[in-house]
Amino acid sequence: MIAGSTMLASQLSWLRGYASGENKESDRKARIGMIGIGSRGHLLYLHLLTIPEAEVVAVCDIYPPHLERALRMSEGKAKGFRDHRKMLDEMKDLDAVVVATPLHTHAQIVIDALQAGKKVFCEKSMAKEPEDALKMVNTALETGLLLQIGHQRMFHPGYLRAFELIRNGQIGNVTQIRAYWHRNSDWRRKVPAGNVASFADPAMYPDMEHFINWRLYRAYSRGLMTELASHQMQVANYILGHYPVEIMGAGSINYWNKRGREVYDNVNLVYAYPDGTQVIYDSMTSNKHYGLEEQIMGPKGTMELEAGLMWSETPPPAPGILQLINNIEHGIFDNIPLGGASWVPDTPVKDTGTPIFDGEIDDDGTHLELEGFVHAVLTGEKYRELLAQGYYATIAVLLGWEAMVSRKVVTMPDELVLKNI
Amino acid sequence: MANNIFYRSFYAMGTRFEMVIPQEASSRLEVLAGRVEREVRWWEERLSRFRDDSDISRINREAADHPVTVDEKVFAVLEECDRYHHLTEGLFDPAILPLQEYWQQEGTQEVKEVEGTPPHGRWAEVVLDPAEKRVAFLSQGTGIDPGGFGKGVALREVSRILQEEGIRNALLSFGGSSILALGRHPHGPHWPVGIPDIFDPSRNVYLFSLRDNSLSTSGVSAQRQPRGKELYLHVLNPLTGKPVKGWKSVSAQHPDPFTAEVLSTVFLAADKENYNTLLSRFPGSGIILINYLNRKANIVTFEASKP
Repeated sequence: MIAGSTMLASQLSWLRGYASGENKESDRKARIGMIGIGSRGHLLYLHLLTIPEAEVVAVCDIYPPHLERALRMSEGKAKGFRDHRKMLDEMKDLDAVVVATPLHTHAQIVIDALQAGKKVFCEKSMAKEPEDALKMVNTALETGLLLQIGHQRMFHPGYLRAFELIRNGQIGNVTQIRAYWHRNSDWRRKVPAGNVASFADPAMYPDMEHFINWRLYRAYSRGLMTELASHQMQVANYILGHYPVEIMGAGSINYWNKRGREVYDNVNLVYAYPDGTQVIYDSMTSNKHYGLEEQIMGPKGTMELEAGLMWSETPPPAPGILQLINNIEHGIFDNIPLGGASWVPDTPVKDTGTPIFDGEIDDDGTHLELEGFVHAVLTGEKYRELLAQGYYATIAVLLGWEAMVSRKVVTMPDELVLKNI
Repeated sequence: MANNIFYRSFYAMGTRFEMVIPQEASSRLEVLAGRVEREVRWWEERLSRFRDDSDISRINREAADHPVTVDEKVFAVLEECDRYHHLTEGLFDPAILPLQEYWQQEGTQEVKEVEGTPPHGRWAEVVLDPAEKRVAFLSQGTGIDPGGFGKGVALREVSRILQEEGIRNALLSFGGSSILALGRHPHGPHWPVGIPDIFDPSRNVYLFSLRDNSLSTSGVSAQRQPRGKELYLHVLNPLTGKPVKGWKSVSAQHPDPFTAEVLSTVFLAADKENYNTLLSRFPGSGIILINYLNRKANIVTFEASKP
């Protein structure tokens, strides 16, 4: 549960029923099928196993080692499938599915599941093409079913507190956001021996390399944009209360240029919003010094959301001075503790910042977002605002990709703007 | 904040500058605050060792190779440093950068103290040319650290600005270690400023009544090392080249913030037998020495004759 989030819940619609602990059918468990149980799917499965209201009754993966691992984990409680359509056909009593397959397969699987009457949790990004993401949203609206996209920061106590402080004017109107995600690795996974044709369509995956390292190839992924940037663009969109309307950018493969990589190893973009605010985004894979961060800036202060710290442009007085001011204010003449050695001589200025959230945080939001999903499955919540967040985050990164590939300024097309949410 | 108090703060010179003027905020005070900040930054830009283009950095980089021309006001400050160097018989020595570097290098303090030959303060190697406002070093390896006087210089200039603008009452603080008190507290005859106990900061171990006066505090603290050893690095005695030991602090009161800062550094390193001689050379000053023994503060006070 999110401690102390009552005030937030009134602002964030998807937490409304959730934070109050309301569960209309508390004695019933949500029957869930997992589709895609590779690295991310495995992690989601581990979380679901610890949520008492959830019951994973089916697992599905085309890759036999992943399927076998999931079946072992299920200890006989889940039925295994190689094909998600077969799972949907056979398991009529499933309430919901959790989709964590490679990006290019999301759209078809999610649409199939919704049309089979299942509520869906789908990992970000939604799709590889904007039109597919739109189709996914429209299918959710037509079927009236929950479709939740995996943006765990929308459930993270530190982020929720930051959103609240920003809304309350802590840093003034946000005038710029800078976000980045830097790593120093080629992003490759070790390719095991195996014959891809024995379990997958060889027309889709020519070899094991393409199957395992799908994030590096344009047929399956938009690389850093869909895998990393979508998290941060979602946060930026949410804070600015809008989707970007104009995007410019440049990307290249300037370091990891061997072994057939097709997606950029560095991406650099400027996103413009209707109120004149810009989001400056970059991600690279040949230097990790700066790590990842979202820096939110306004005339009154700065927040770094990953670090969970904030700074004021005009920091409050030091304790002794504050006491002096209070004394003067109340007509008191009393001594103040002030004179002390600065123990460090001439050193560069350091203001190490103030924590945004006081409580303990032991989860990046993934557990809470799954709890939220299970809750919504049982109560009938639809989290439409959250779906719009997931959608526009996907659109932002895909249009960013388009801007880099075309080397042109891309404008948000009217046909991609959601009319019903 | 109450509307009868004007407060401004910004980070400069490695710490926080804070200014309290017991007056209603006004555009005049806003303009004044801007002028104050620009003045402090001006000095920071010229004195900081952490800016490559400051006068001090240029001196440290080039003065051993050729004389370096510096800003007129910076030169005047260096001339004052020279005067204090002689008045304190070498205990005030801004050319201690080589010592700082020596103690920060690899190697244990213990071994260095027994076997090492640390460099001494090198102000004697600094040559000032008043006609051309140039600074030269007589030897390589000389370097100036403005840590012991920069804040005092800036506070003095800020004080001048406040007085020009007719501000009679104000309290200014540079991270608590350099304080300037103009006039008095609105509800009393002076500004009452306490020195907190370093082991129990909620308790004051000494109380100053400041009125048109400034206060500078310097201290030695030890970094605890494994096996119960303590490492002292903050204050170095320029005459011996060695760290000042023990847990102690000195607070020096003097009408001039620069002088107060010089005194707090000097008295930390000085030997007991020299206290009175030193004090006699700085009329109008007051010194308190706090020695912490078993975490208890022992206080000794000295007061020089009025100027």
